[in-house]
Amino acid sequence: MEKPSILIIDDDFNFCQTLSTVLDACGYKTAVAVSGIEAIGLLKQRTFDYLLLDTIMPVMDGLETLKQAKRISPNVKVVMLTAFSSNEIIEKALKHGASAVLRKPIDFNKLNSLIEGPRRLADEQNINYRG
Amino acid sequence: MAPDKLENKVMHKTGIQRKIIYMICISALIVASVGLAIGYTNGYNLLRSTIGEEYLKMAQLLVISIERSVESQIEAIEMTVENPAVIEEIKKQNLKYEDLDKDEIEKYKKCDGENSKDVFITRGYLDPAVKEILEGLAYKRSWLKEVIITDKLGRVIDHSDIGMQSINLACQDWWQKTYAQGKGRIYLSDIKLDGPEKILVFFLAAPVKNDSGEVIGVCKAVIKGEDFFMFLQKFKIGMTGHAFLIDKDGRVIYRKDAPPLSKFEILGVRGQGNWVTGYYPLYKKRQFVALAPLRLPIFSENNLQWFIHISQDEDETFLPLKVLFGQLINVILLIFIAMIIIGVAFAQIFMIPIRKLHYATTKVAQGDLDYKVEIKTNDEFEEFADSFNWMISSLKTSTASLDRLNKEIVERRKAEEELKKTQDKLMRSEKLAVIGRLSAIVAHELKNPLGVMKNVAYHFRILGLGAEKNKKVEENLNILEEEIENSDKIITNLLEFSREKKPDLKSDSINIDIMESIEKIKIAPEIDIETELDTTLPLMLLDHSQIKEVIYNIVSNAVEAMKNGGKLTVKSYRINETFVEISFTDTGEGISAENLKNIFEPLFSTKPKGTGLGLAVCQSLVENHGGKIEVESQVGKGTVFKIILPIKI
Repeated sequence: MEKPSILIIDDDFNFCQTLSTVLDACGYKTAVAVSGIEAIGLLKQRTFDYLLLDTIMPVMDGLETLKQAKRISPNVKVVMLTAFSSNEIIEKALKHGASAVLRKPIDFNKLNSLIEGPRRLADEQNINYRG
Repeated sequence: MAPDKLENKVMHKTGIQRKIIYMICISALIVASVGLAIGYTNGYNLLRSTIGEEYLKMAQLLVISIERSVESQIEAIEMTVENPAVIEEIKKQNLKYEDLDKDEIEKYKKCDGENSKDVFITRGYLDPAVKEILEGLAYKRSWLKEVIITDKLGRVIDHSDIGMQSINLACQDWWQKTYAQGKGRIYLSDIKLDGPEKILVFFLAAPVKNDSGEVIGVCKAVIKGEDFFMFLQKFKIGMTGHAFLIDKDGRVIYRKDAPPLSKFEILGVRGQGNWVTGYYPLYKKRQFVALAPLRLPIFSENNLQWFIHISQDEDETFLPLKVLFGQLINVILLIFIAMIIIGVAFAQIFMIPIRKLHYATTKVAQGDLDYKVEIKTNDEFEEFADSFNWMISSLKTSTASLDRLNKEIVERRKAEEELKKTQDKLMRSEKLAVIGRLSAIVAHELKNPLGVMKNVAYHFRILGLGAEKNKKVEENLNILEEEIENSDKIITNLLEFSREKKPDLKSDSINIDIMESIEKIKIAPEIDIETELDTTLPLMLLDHSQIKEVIYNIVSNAVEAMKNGGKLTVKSYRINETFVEISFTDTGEGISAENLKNIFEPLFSTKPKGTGLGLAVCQSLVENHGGKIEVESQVGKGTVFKIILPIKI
């Protein structure tokens, strides 16, 4: 089975860079976008299995990006990344089709389990999953 | 003070009333006593002098009647001696001395006693007419014992009782005094006891004169005192008032129930007539005595002094006065009682305004400044009541302004306190807000670098730079990840704190919150946790995740405070209808008083890596639920945290 392709979208380039390195090392195919606009552009060119989408970004924020991404590629699974997860944001994200919300810094075990074998996780403090 | 008690108090104070009654009674008593004393003294003196004068007058009247009797006796004897038949008879008798010589006459003059009889001289010479006259005189007047006529030499010519006797009476004193060397005068004898029967008698003697005024004989009338003074016996004043006759030596001439001529001590000056009162030896009592002398010239001529003596027990004399006095005392007693009644009534009336004023002062003292005294006596009391009312109204005005001032002060103080509280709260919330904003910025900005670091660390781990190749690198990676974890926790806390959280209310069991929170905490085996949860507690409408966070924080702190082991007791119970309390009692190191003051202050922490936000967050969460957090602690003994939450918000 081919490894899932993951698009990492974060305005912090360093974060994108290091995360993609880690995921590459784990054997995923990763791409990086440092803004929502760039991500949408990429999505129009090709499809991804997963989007790791930062919630707070300038110009076009995570939610807006999520909406557009879902329009372009309805099957893409989106994991929202957030520095701080307020219930409001989580609810909105899930409402607009996000599969899960993951807190920064990323717990890679959780991320792995999300991507490799999606399953319900009870720990709502860190992960909100709908599926 | 209860009103009835107040009344009692008013009723018991009756000093003025008593004083008024005393005053009236005492003045009445003084007036009555003085009046009575003056009345009695005056009455006594007046009655005494009146009665004295009266008794003296009575004595004088008795004197006059005795004098009249004596005078009429004298008249009777004078009529006898002027009777021609008597004169003729004596002349006839005297004729037998015409032819006698001097020697023979001297022989006749000799007083030869009653038994000598000279038949020659007396026999056959007595004129029956004269005898008749004498007998008539004696029998007409019962008090006359006998009447005797002598010739010029003292020989008895005739006798009313025994007829003619040849007795010469010339030797006797009374005869000589009546004959008076031939000049002749009326003679009144002293009183004496006569004969074997000892009859009280006195007598009158009168000379018999011829036409040329020459004394030719003497007529003597013997009077029985008992009969003559009989009328004195009838004289009576009351029960003890009697009249009697005495002479100048105090001898009784006539007195009922007393032996004649007995002597006794009498009071009073035996002069012109007077009256006295005093102790009387005769009666051994105080007596009222009036004494009046007889004043006929005949008495003084014969050196006699007789008195009418009237005496009466003073008790009886003054009985009317005593009766009057007794009645007067009764009347005064009645007046006295009336005075007391009037006094009581007057005092009652007098007391009414005083009582009203007293009641008013009590009322005012109790704080009733609207009370008005109603006194309409049209006197000083009314004036007093008016000024009292005026005083109370002024007092009310000033009290009202004082009250207003006080109220203002209290309100201002309250407002100031409120303001300070609000300021404190504001400052606190501002502080919290600033901290929140700052935290948000810092946290957000630090999250990404931390994320990056974690990514890198993880990358190194994947690349296998750890365990297999270099133990030191592995250790350092662990330290790095741990520190990233810690920093993340702190940042998360800061963000948590900065976030505006509205409680998401759900009805659920608080006991479950407690248990779930405790389960989440890593607890060292040397720490013993005991729970005493009230299972009957109702479901509570709370944001349970927030409350769990609070419980989690407090339990974490407790566990941290018992690094060397100990016991934490968690209890839940109901305080009252509306509040439930959860208490956390640990046996940890405790908190100093200094720190206890600031324990809920944001940014205050005693832990090396604490943000100082945990308890501040707890407090604001609980307060948002309408509850409060309390803490008590003793250094070395432990700390008690209490969360008090309302059952219904």
